[in-house]
Amino acid sequence: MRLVAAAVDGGVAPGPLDALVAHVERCPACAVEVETQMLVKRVLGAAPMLPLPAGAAGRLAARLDDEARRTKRAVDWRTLTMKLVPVAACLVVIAAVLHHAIRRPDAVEVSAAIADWGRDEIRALQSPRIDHAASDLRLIGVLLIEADHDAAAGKN
Amino acid sequence: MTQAAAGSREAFDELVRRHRRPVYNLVRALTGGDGDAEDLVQDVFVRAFRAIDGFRGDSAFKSWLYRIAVNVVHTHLQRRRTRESMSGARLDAPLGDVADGDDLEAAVLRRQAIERALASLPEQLRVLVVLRDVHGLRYDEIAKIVKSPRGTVESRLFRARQQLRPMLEPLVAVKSSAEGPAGSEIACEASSGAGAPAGAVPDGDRES
Repeated sequence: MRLVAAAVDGGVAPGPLDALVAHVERCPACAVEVETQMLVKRVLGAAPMLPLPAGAAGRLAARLDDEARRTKRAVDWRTLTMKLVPVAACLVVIAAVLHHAIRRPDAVEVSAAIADWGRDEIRALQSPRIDHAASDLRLIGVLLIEADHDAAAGKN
Repeated sequence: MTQAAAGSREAFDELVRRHRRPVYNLVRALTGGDGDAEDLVQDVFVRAFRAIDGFRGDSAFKSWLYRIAVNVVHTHLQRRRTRESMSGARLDAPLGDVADGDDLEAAVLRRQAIERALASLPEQLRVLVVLRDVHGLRYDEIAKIVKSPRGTVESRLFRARQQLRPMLEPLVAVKSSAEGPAGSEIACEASSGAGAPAGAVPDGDRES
């Protein structure tokens, strides 16, 4: 019987459809079923499409406007949050750069003080009365400090 | 459709303009001309608006929208049945646009007669015959909407049409040439094993 429904809707391949037609021609009961299916399909297919009631289109549009406004408030908040993330990231980067830049002058000032002390040591090393083993280590330390001071001076 | 899914309100409004009348008629047919049809139509399009960005185009927009409509109507009918059972009385569904006597258009009368006939069907059968015969959806589309196998859709559609015939026959101008009501006592020779026509139903369906 579902084959009859499908056949009425054009959903049966030609071969089986021919067999069905041949059967229906000699079977009154099935002929009635086919006619039933076709009759109902025809009546419903021709059912008039009613227009919307007066004002319904406007009421529908108003309801959708309300829904759009409600949705927009939610979307704006999310959009705002998404926009703040890169701003926050930039602020973090700027803070890190400033922190690093602010530290550097202190390092240069300290380095300069050490370098001055280093020069005093060098003069002291030039004294013949110095302990040479200790003086070697102190010389290396002084040279390192001098190099650091030169580097800081060069960057400034 | 793509623009609507991307968030264009104008594109969505255009879809609403195109589909609101068929959806209204679908809801009326499914609810038997319920006076709540207009509210239900609003619910359908609001749900569609909320879900439009999730529409992936794996089915036609019309099928997708009708699936929403069927679900909205189903919920409504469940609530209506609950109210009826709680109140102990059947709430007669008003016939919507009924007007008095002489100024009724023939089309409205005919439509209402059809809706009354449809209302006599169980919801499960009514949905199928409305989607297929009134709105011309294909079997595979209907099967997706009602979440049933295609063979089940075909069987139920057959039964639905059988049940509708007595009520719709008066609307047909030409008399039936076949004697006997649908499902008459005359048995099909095939059911007695005399050889039934066999055939595979192809997947494709004629589109309306």
